[in-house]
Amino acid sequence: MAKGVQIAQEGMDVKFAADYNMELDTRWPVVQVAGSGSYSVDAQVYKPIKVFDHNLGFVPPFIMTVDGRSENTPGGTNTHVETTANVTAAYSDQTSFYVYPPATGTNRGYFYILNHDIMNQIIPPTPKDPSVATPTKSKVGARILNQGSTDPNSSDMRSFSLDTDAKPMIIHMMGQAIASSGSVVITHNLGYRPSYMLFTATATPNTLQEVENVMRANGNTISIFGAHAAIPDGQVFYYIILKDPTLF
Amino acid sequence: MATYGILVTPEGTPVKAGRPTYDSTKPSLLVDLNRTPPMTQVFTYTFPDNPQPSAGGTFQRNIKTITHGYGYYPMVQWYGYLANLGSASANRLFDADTFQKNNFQVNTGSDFVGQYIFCTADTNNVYFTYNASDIFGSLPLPQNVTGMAVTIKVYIFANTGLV
Repeated sequence: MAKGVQIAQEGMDVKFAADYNMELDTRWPVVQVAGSGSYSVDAQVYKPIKVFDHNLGFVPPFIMTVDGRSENTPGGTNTHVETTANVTAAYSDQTSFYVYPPATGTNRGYFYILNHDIMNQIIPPTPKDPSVATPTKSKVGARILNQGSTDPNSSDMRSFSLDTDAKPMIIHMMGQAIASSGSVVITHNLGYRPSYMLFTATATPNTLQEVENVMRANGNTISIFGAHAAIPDGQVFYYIILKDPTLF
Repeated sequence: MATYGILVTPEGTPVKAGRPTYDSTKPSLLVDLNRTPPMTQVFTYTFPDNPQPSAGGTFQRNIKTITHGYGYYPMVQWYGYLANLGSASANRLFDADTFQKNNFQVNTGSDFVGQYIFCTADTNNVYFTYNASDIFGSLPLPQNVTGMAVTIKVYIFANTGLV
């Protein structure tokens, strides 16, 4: 790169590290959090319940979990948090994050509102060869504390916004894709099948809702299919393709 | 931003223009690279048999437990690939390129059965479970999972997933 900042994971030579071994690179955004918290929604008339005001002025993507102690979750155990449960029962708009109530009982969970305007396209530069540099044990590194954290030697990684001992999620590309002929194809050209986040959008009101469609992927493309039926032509998807191989 | 911190913008973009690539006032989702077992890992589960739920009932089997030891509920994200079709019927849900996020359906999408892999966590472990439910008493399940292999990549973040 001509100029900028590159920090690789601990023990990785920044000159030879694959893109997904970077902690920080001026060329790509790191997935960062604009707000987070827990929610608890009791059974009531089926309408969205606002659980958080992010006031970002754009419609942010999000990730969430559902408390397994809640009703209507697949695990149904008393102590577990679900990653699988009904995440489609939530959405974000330009100001807030909403969760739908359960038919019975209480739905609880935790959410992260991501600080990225997914409707602004990010077109990636050509990826570096995905070969992995050989890590060596290093005694150097970098840590940046989160606001409000004061101990740079903390063993709790939640204290840090960046840590070369930890892998952040780095965005390769971000944008919009529209269904055609029953599916959606996103070309990423990473050379491996990447991790991703996927959302659908509605125009009125302008919202994002996470979806977990069935996909196919190879080193160049991700294709999205409907699990039960073909995707209606014209349906709009918003995606974040991450710089991380799903398989090695 | 705060009175101190680091703000990095893409090359050629003024810092005040916004849309930073990194902003130290914002937390990140981080996977600790120094824990054992690894907090991001790939594993494959091959079904040795074709377990059936009782009529109208549910069968569940733990297929993987990963100890994180954080002492709090972590945020988890995962992806599942079909590595081997086994005895299942080939269709668009089942081929070598198929993958799914945070849920792995092991049927054709029929609403009469619930065959899927799901993930839960507590304050010490992350669990992957195979679930087969006979929702309307319409046994047998349509997909024979014997020999089916599912490869999963999981991210166990050092970030709170529940309080």
